[in-house]
Amino acid sequence: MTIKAIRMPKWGLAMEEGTIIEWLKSIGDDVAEGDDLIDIETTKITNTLQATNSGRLVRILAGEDEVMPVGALIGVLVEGKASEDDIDAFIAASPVAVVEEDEGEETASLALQTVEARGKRINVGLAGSGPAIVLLHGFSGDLNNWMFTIEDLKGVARVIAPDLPGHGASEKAVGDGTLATMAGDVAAVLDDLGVADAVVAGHSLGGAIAMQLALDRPDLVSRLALVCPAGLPGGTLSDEFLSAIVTAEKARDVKKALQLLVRDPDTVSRDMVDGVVRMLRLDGAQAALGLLRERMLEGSDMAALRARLGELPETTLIASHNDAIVGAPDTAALPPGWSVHWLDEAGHLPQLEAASRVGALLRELI
Amino acid sequence: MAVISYRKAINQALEQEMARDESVILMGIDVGGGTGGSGDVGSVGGVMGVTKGLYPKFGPDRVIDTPISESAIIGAAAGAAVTGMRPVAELMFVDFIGVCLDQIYNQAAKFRYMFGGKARTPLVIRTMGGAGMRAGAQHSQNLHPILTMIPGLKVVMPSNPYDAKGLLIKAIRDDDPVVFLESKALYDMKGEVPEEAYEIPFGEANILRDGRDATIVAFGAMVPRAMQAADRLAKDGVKVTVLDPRTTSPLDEEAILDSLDETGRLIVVDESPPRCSLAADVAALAVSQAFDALKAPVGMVTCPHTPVPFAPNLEDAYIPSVERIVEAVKNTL
Repeated sequence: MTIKAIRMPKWGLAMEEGTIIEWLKSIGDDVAEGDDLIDIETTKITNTLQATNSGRLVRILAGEDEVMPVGALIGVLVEGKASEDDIDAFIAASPVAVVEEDEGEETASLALQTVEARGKRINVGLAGSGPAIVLLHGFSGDLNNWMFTIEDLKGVARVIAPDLPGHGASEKAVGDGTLATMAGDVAAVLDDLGVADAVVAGHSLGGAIAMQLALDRPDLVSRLALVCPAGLPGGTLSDEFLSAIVTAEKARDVKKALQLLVRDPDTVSRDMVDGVVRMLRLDGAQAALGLLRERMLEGSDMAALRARLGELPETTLIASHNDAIVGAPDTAALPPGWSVHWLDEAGHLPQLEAASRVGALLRELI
Repeated sequence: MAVISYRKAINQALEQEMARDESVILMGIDVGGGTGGSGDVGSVGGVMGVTKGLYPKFGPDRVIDTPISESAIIGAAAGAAVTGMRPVAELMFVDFIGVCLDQIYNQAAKFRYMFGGKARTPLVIRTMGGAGMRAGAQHSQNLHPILTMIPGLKVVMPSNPYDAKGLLIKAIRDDDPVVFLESKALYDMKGEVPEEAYEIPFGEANILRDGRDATIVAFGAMVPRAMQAADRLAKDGVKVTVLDPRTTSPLDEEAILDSLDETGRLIVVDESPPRCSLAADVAALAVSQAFDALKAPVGMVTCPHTPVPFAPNLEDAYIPSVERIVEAVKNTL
């Protein structure tokens, strides 16, 4: 007999508490490791907690709409048989809140560092140790787009997540805004950090930059993971989204734009909108994004990329048929050997909408 | 991101805009600071230390210590603005605005209109208001209602460090006269503020918290109190939206009415006497534009119709308290 705790997870640096939206299992249900267990809402986003153990769900200690701090005991699983007394004793003996087993590392889960890359000030998030994995966010995003992914990867890898030029806390200058320039800046960051060889994952525009980096600096990139990347054959590019971001004046404009990114518009929380609004309001941010948008719509960078897909290293592609921004790529037109995963439960932001699946797929590449 | 005070956020906005644009100048009583005192020039930076460090950096031509004459400060600043400078004039206390109202409402606020849109008056008047500092009836008022009713003036009431910086940068870059009302009670409030310059547009409310049961609209120093009230109400299962309009003119009527549509209950918290207050103004907006949405009478949490008392216990009772906000919300349920 083993009694296992189900605790409020910590998703991302800023999470202090979560609200139980719905238990996806009932008392008495058998739960297998990896099963979807609870929908939990944080100030950033709603996500699904998956079981990290197997067993029968015997207690639910926090019901729907209840707000619990990170680490709080919210349910109990039992493997084998346990008496009610044993379970009560386990609950009574359980600490009020535990912040994950690797608590020591948790406190320093994401370190921010400023790197001078070719004269540009680039903000980089660093976590964990081991083989390097680089996470490149998309147009108008920032390194926080990877908050769940970083949590999933930091135990097995050295995670390097920069704010791309023009984004987040990095310098707003994007030069000529070409993929080659953006990839060159990322290469300069990696050179500065002493990274010789990495798995490079890129989302959306970051996916196109990742491909460009692999072509321009094959020494740096051992494997590619492309999450809803821009530029693939058969894909599209929603200027409804790009132009909405570049011209947004008010928070409600930004909210409408961000709702295009996800499958369920309710996923877009006020915090998510506020974060993007604050970034767009920095001097030069919308001008930089405007230049990147023009380059993307002009299209020659992406066309050149498509002509050289066969030169890319081993590539994993994560895409969705419900992606309203870059669309669903034509997998028949891709080079043979690409590993393709459809995450249709998500829209254009699977690393937030289907976080644990993306985390699991990327862990396999380490 | 750096965590800095409301005071420092304002100082940073001034410093960055002065560095960016040579036409930005400061003028006011002791804005250089320390002149004639024991410290070095520039060591004080105004009565609250907000402009500290700017005199040594930008010198006497751009940080102008003026005589103690508010009408001269604002008159000179309005004149400088129409000739192409971007002056930021400081009135030590908003209570002193009476002697320069002609320069403000008859001159600065009228130029664009009376010259057929050809005159620009990029003037910022920084000043502070609010009770709680034991400063007596002539140094503790909030006079935003008087200023809000003047067409041609924009009126800003920042409630936190992030907003203070972004709204002041916007005020300096704006081509119309702006009164920037700082809250004495908030100077030591800390918050995350980007080091880079950024603008927050006027007329866009900030929604700090979402809840379906009621909408609390609060201004300036009343915003943190409304948030505390919201925390207490949440423990009793009452979920409220807290909305900070950020600017009283222009006012984000759309955000207030949208929220009212969802909650049906409105409580306005305004640190000023009730007659002709922003509380009365927002209540009138609700009953004239959203009567059908209202499920209860609008709650107004204001000061009494008296001068600000000097006795500390009475002064504390004068300012809308968290308890009164909680009670006003419960009265609408």
